[in-house]
Amino acid sequence: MKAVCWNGIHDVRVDTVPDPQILNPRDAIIRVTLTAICGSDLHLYDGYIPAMQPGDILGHEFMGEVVEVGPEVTNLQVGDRVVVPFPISCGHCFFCEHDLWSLCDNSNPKAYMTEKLYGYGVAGIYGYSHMMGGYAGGQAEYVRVPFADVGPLKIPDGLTDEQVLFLTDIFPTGYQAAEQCEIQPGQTVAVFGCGPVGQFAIASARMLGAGRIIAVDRFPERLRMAAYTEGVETLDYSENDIVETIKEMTGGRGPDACIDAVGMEAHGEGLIYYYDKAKQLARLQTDRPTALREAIQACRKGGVVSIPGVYGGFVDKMPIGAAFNKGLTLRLGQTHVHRYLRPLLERIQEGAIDPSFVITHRLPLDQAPHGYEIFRQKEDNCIKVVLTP
Amino acid sequence: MTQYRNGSTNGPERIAPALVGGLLLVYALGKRSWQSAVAAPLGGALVYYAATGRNPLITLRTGGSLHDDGVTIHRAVTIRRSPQEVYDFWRRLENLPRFMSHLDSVVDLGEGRSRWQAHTPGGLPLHWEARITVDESGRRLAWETLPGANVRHYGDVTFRPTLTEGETELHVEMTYAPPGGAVASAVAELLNGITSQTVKEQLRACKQILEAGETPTVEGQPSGRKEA
Repeated sequence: MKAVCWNGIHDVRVDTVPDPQILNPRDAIIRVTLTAICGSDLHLYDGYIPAMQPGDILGHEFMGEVVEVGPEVTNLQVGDRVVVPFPISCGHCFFCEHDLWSLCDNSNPKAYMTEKLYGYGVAGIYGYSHMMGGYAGGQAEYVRVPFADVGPLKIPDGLTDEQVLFLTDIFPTGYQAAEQCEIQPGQTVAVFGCGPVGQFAIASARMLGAGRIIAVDRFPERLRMAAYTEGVETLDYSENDIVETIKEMTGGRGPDACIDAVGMEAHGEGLIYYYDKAKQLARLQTDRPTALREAIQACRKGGVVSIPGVYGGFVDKMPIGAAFNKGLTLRLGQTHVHRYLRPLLERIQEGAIDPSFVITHRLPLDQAPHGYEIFRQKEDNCIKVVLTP
Repeated sequence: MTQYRNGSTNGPERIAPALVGGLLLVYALGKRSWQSAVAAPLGGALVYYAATGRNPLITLRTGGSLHDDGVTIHRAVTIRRSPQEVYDFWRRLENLPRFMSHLDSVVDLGEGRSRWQAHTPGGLPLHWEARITVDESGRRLAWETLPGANVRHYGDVTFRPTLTEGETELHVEMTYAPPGGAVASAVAELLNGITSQTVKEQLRACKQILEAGETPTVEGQPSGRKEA
C-alpha cells in the first residue's frame, strides 16, 4: 500500500509499504477514505518530537471502511464506515473507566519511555513517535486499529467524510479546550492561535455560551475564518502588544479564560522570542512557550488557562508566579476523544456545526509532501489539508 | 519495612566480569589443585558481581552471603481485577510465561510442584523445578526452586485489595540467585537480563492481559524501513 513516511526533518515521502495485518484479537483493519495533516504533525515534521524513526508512517486523523476484524471485535462489521479517535485506549483500565481515555494504562507498547520522562506511561497515539507507542499512522491506504471494539465510531448515512473526519481529533480537541474553561453565559474567552484547533475552540466556546471571543493570530486568512463565528473579535499580535490590547478590550479586567491553541512551536515578537528559538535549536529547552506565557499574563485574576496546544518536554521562564498570584486554574492534556465522539456527532447531525469549514486544501495522498510544505509555510492561505488515498 | 532496590549496576560493564568469572569457574571446577582454590572464589565473585552489580567483598563484609543473595526485585502494580481473579491467574502457573518473557513454559506437576523451562537473553536454556511454599487463595502465593536446580529462584506475590471494589494491588518480590558453581555463566547471563525494568515490564504485561485481554504490540506492522 501507499503510506506517508517520516524520513527526517522536513522530509516526508509517500512510499510503498506492506499492508497492515491483524496482530491482536481486538484489532481491525480500516481502508482509509479520508485523512488529514494535523498541526501537531508539524511538530514531527519540524523534528521537535523525540523518538521518531525514519520510515515511521504518519497520521492520527483518519476515517474509513472496516475491511477486517479480529476475533474479539464483535461490534464492527466489514463495510462499516467509522471515524477513529487519535488516542488508542483499551477501555478497561482505571483511566478509560474514568473517561480519561488519552491516559490509558494499557495501549502503549513502549510506555517505559514516557514513564521515564513523565513519571507514568501515557496512551498510544497513531503515527506520533515511539514514545507514544510507535503505532503506524493513518496517512495511508490502510491502517491497523487496536482495541477496535472500543475506539471507532460508526457514522450514519447522510453525512460526508469531510463533515465527520475531524471528530478524530481537532473538533473534540477544540471542544475540550473550551469545556475546560467552564464558561458561564456571557463570559469572555481569548483564543491564542487560530489554526484548526483554535477555530474549533472558538466555535465550541460559542456553543458553550461565551459572550465575547477574542481570536489572536497573525495570519489574516486565519483571523478572517475565525470571524465567521458570530461574536468573534480578532486581534493581530504582530501589530499590537497582545497583553495590553486584550486588557484594554476587556475594560482592564482581562478575559475570563484564555486558550493556548498554539503549543510548543509558538511564534512571537521581540527578543524573548528569539531567545526561546535559540534555546530550542540548541536543545536547551524542548518547547517554546510564547503563547502560553501570554495567555497566563493576559488572563484575568482567578480565570482559567486551557491548553490544547501540544507540549512535549520542558520550557523556560514559565511565569508560574503570575499563575500562582493571580489564582489561575490551568487545564491541559491530550484530548479524551472517546468522551466527545457521540455528543459531537449529534451536534453535527442537528446542524449546529459543519466541521468541514476549516478545510482549505484537498489533495490526493500522493501529494502529502506538498501538503506538509504549504501547511508549514502557511502558503496559499493554507489552514487545513485533507488527503484522499 | 520493605527495602526497594532499583539502583544496582547493569548493562555492558557487567558482561566482562561475567565472562571472565565464568571461565575461571569452569577452569577451577576442572582442577583439583591449589590453582582452583584461588580461581574458584575469584570466578564466583566476578559472576556474583556480574549478576547483581554489587561488590561481593562489600557484601561479605556487611554480612551478606554469596549464595543466599542474588538479584531481588520488588515491584507493585494496581490491576482492575479482584484479588481472587488475579490470584487465580497466577496460581495457574502455566499462565506465567504469557507475561514473563524469559519463561518458555511452566508445567504444574501437582502437589505444589512445578517444572520451569526458561532461556537466557542469549538463548541458553535453563530449567528448574520449584515448589509452592505459601498458597493462600486470593491473598498470597510464594514458591522456591527445589535443590538441584541450576538457578535459585524465589517468588513471593501478595494480592492486596484496594479501597475500590474489584481492584488489586499486586506486590511482587522475585529473587534469582546463582546456585554456586556449575553453569555459572548461563545463570549469570539470565541474572544480568533480569533487572528491575524487566520485572516492571512483566508486571505491566500481566496487567494488560488481565485488564485489556491482550498486550499491545507494534511488532509486525508496516513501515517505510527497508527490512533486511
